[in-house]
Amino acid sequence: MDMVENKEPNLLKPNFDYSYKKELVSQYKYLQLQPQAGSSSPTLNLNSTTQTVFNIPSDVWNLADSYISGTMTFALLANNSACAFVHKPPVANMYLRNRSGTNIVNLTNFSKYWICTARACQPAQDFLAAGPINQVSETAAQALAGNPCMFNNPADALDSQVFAAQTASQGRITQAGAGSGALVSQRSYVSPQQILQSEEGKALTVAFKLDLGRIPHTVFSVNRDLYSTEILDLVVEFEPGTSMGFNVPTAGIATLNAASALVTAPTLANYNLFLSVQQNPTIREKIISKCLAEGGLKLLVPYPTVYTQNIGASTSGQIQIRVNSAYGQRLLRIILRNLYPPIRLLSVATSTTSPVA
Amino acid sequence: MDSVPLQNYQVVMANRMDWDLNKDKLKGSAVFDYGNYRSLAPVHVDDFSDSNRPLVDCAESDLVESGRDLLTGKDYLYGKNILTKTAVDTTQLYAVIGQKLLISDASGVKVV
Repeated sequence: MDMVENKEPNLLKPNFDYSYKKELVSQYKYLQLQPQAGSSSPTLNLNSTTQTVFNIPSDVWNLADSYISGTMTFALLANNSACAFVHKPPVANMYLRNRSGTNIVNLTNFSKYWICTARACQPAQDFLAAGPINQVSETAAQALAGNPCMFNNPADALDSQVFAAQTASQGRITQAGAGSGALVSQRSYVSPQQILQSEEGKALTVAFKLDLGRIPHTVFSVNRDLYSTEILDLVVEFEPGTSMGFNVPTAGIATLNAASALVTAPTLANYNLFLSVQQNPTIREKIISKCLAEGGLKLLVPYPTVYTQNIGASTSGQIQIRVNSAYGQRLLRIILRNLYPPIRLLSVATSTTSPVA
Repeated sequence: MDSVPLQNYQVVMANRMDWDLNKDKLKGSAVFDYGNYRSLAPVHVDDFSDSNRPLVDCAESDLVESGRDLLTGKDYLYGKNILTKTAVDTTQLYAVIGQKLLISDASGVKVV
């Protein structure tokens, strides 16, 4: 007998209404996946990138609703404090591949692309309303790289006491750039709140959460369910440790002056991919059927190709790109941007490990 | 989202990301250059109005040509060597956002 929809007036609260519904409501559950090596604590390299691979199972999942998270702990030299860049995910490159090696997403220069395309700041009230996990203010360990605290500079009318009051004792957002005429102009490039600093002599633990849906113009940000008949590889290459943070000696804590590069790679822990898997059997069946039918599931998706180019010391330059079908069937947009220059406060050696590194 | 078909075009990135011509809605454009023919399908880039992002100093006098593309009705901007920078701003990022067809079928997933 066919299922018949109940036509009677519904007097029940939605919670208790178990009648047949036509609506297809997505129900997601996170599937926690560890990287391929089987460890959620892979060893990071100090001076080179570190590759990790997640196997995405053959299932119905929504990448835009999925995320990668972990915590990094920065060691420090004696009498130093540890600093970390928290305005970007610590990821150098990111790929989504099938097992025959074809890239579905090929995002080289990932962190630079992120800096240039992802929303860089949010109003303070939004940040505060986001809950403790998003607030650098709670503890340094809960500070989220990639979803950083984006208060305004105190020089722009937000009282500096806000920082002091919000950042407890374990870590603080550095105040470099405030109160010094020579540094004020730096704000346009590297806001002080983009660096998280531990107390003197204490290591710094920073949590990072990379919402795949926040990566602009990629399959990741396409918010819909997909199904794959084969296992896909999500390759995440971490930046060199020296590009994630640095040390500052006691004398330079207040201004980040005389910074030095890390000598020990940060450690990574609780590193997992939380894959959002569709639970509604009706939706699952429809998508799987569509994929397995003749022609399969077809979807136009954005496909970014990212380059960086050093145009040298001249003060003007011109970049030429030959655009052809290798970039895709159609062109949606071109993004061209100068990256953040080094933090000029830092020593020359460490400048190369600035946010652009 | 605006898009143009991709063929073998030479794109001269006479760029301006934060060119503050908000009034003229010219913020963020890149321009095609087909050699002698500069009908120039504009590529509109993201709105980088975020004040926290770095600005590149750029004089309006560098603007060679601007107007309205007759095909799309969009404003366009053509410039020459208008990418200026300070000595430390040496690294440029450029990203070409294309559009591909994702196919998920019995043989797996691919983009073409």
